[in-house]
Amino acid sequence: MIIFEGLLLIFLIVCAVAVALTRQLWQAIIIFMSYSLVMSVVWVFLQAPDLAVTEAAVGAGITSILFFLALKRINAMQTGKKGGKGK
Amino acid sequence: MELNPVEIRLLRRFRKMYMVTAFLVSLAMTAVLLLTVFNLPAFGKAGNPAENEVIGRYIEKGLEETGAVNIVAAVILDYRAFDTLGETLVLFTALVAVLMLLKDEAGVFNRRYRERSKFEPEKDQIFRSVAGMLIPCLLVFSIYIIVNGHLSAGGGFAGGAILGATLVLYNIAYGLEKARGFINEKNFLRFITAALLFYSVVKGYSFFTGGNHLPSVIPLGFPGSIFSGGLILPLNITVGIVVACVVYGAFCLFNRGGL
Amino acid sequence: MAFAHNIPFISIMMTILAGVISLLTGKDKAARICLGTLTAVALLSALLFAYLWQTGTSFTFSMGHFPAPWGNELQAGLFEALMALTFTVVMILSLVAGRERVVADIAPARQGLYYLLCSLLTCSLLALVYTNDIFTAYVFVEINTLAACGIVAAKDTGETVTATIRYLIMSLLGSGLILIAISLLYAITGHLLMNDLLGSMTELAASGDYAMPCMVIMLFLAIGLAIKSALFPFHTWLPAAHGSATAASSAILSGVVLKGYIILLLKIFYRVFGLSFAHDLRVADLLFVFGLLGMIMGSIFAVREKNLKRMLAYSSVAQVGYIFMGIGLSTAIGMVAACFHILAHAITKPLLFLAADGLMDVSGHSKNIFNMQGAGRRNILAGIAFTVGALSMIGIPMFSGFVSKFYFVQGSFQNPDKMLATLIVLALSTVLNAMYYLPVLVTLYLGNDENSPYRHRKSANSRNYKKAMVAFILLNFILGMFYEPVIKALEQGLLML
Repeated sequence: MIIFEGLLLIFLIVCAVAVALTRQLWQAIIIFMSYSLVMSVVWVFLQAPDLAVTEAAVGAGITSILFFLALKRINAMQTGKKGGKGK
Repeated sequence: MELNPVEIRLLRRFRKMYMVTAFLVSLAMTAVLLLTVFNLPAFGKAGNPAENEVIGRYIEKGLEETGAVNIVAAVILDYRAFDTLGETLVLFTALVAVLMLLKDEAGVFNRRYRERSKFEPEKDQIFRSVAGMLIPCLLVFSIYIIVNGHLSAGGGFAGGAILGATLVLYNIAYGLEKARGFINEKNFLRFITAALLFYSVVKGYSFFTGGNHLPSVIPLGFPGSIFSGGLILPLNITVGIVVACVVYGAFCLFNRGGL
Repeated sequence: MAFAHNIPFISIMMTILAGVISLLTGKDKAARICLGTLTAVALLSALLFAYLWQTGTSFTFSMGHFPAPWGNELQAGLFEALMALTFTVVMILSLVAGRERVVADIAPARQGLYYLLCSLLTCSLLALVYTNDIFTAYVFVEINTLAACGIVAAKDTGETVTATIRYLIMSLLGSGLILIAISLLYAITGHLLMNDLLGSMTELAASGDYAMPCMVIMLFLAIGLAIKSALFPFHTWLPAAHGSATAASSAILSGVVLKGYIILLLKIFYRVFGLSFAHDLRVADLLFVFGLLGMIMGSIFAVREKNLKRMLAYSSVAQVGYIFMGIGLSTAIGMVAACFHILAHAITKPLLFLAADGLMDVSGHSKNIFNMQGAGRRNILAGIAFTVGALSMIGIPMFSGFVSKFYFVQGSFQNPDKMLATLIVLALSTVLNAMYYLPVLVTLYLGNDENSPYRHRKSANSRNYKKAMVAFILLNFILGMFYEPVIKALEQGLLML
């Protein structure tokens, strides 16, 4: 179990660094989504089921939708070479 | 906007400096926080400072004093209900700020949206039928989480977020026009205002009687049954309504600039 | 139990209800609800102040049926009552004086929401002033941040939107630091109530345990709140936000919102760490240095600025520097002087922003000082108001700014280590203040407006504007001349903290 928990925590760190380093915003959002999902599993391990449910619903679901909508609003959703980044 | 070569070089240099500074700052912050965490009491050990009379009373007397089986619900909606009122107001304030910024009175954005939009999920048959199967289950699940908040894990915040997400899914699958059939701007504003008013008036009564050492007339009920926990059940429902409204409202405002 | 004990609770609940109900009403009704509630809260706060002045005690009010460490609690003493009274009065006067400008600047559909946010802003400020629980303080800091961003963004121009985004990001950075600090604090003490925290912190200070986490907590709390109250190196968001918002928002933000966070910091100094421990942690020295730097740098930025509103915003940076310098002196008189300066700046800066608005009104709404040649002659009331505010900020006797400088000097005598630096920087800063306020006054009164297209522009001050400005000017004189009772109240109030 401890190994599994450690793996999850390592995954969290990797995700956090990846969000900061990703050049394309929509990719950052998807990584952030997976971060939230793993985080909710970690909450379960920490015996905080209330937080786990909220984190899964808010972190993985709603904030990502709002991020995507915001990107769509500012026309930063083109994938491919152009990408929404501030060069 | 065209930049001349000098400006471009300056911008490049700024970008490089920015990256370096950001890296150093985050490294320093990580080091400080890690060092602090190693100096903290070990996680979850008996005899930690956090294990004191405050926690003791929550665990030992929580059920007796609030009638809620779920101690977390007892803490956030009874012992420290003022904080939760604040949290709910944070969401409300955020919604008002979004409403102020993105409400599209003239319908300009809406028209532009229609012209530009290529993918219309409303016309996607597979998506619609999957959503049609999912939505009733999600509705039941979210209502269960809200209403059962004082008995099991969950409560207004979690359930409200799921309820809001369900409404968002409905809106995406069947379109804004159809969603307006049961939640349009007018009754949306009424829902959220009524919920917040109910919370502040009912809890205001409880604060007032508590502060003046008057007895409260609200029965706690039999622990474990659905009607128990005094005010926790209605407060969970109001918090759920507020959270769902904020989620759905923010989605609609970001999506089309109106409900 | 006296009725007065319910006043903090009633004021907070009334502003919450006013804010929530305003969502359903039209814009005029929302404005009336907001102003009516604020007036009632101001009267109640005055009553509370009178009651506490009579009895000379402080009291706690438990929010709910559970006593303090388990439930939430409010505490009110003379300090809290005086701050609540000042905040509500400044809010009312700013909103009344800026009413016409709000109508002109903000789209009709948004005006109702604007007043709603003002009600919620007051609610959060009152809660910050009265709360006895550090987590409650955090929650209301969040409301305060969002509502403040909302009232900047209400005037929908590109300038305000970018200013709001900067403000929001910096503020959230501050919130993050505060939240980390609070969770660390909970981990080493197990308390969130300020009285219990003080007990635990005194024990920790005596035993020397967790010295490193204590240091980090104090640092994070101080820096987080310093970002939000625009102390010098963290002030970068302020000029854009205060310089571009509508007049009433600028007045409220500079007069009241910045001060709410400073008061929370004071409460943390007094009631969480205890003054001696906070002094041992050396954070006061850090704030002192930043405060001194802010006093000079803010003024230098202001001297270089040609945009009147941004100049006033940079002047706020300098004045916040004064307040932090007073806190950093860590002497009794220094603290009183800092608190008095909170009051003095709270009634002076809104006056200046609103007067600047009146002057811009007769100069074709240009914010540039060069376009305001002779504007003081065209809009006489705004000219007088600006003069009063400017003289008070420079520190001319009879005005409120002088009194705080006087006490800052006295406070520095008590701390020989910091005396010389304080005196030099105070003198330098006074000269710099004069360097940017006096040229503006000269332009306003002696400027040649014969070639100006606006030379026949008559002032169109509404009655509300006139009343509020006169009230602000009178308040400034009252605080400048009859300051002794206020100082006494602050001294006693700080002892009660």
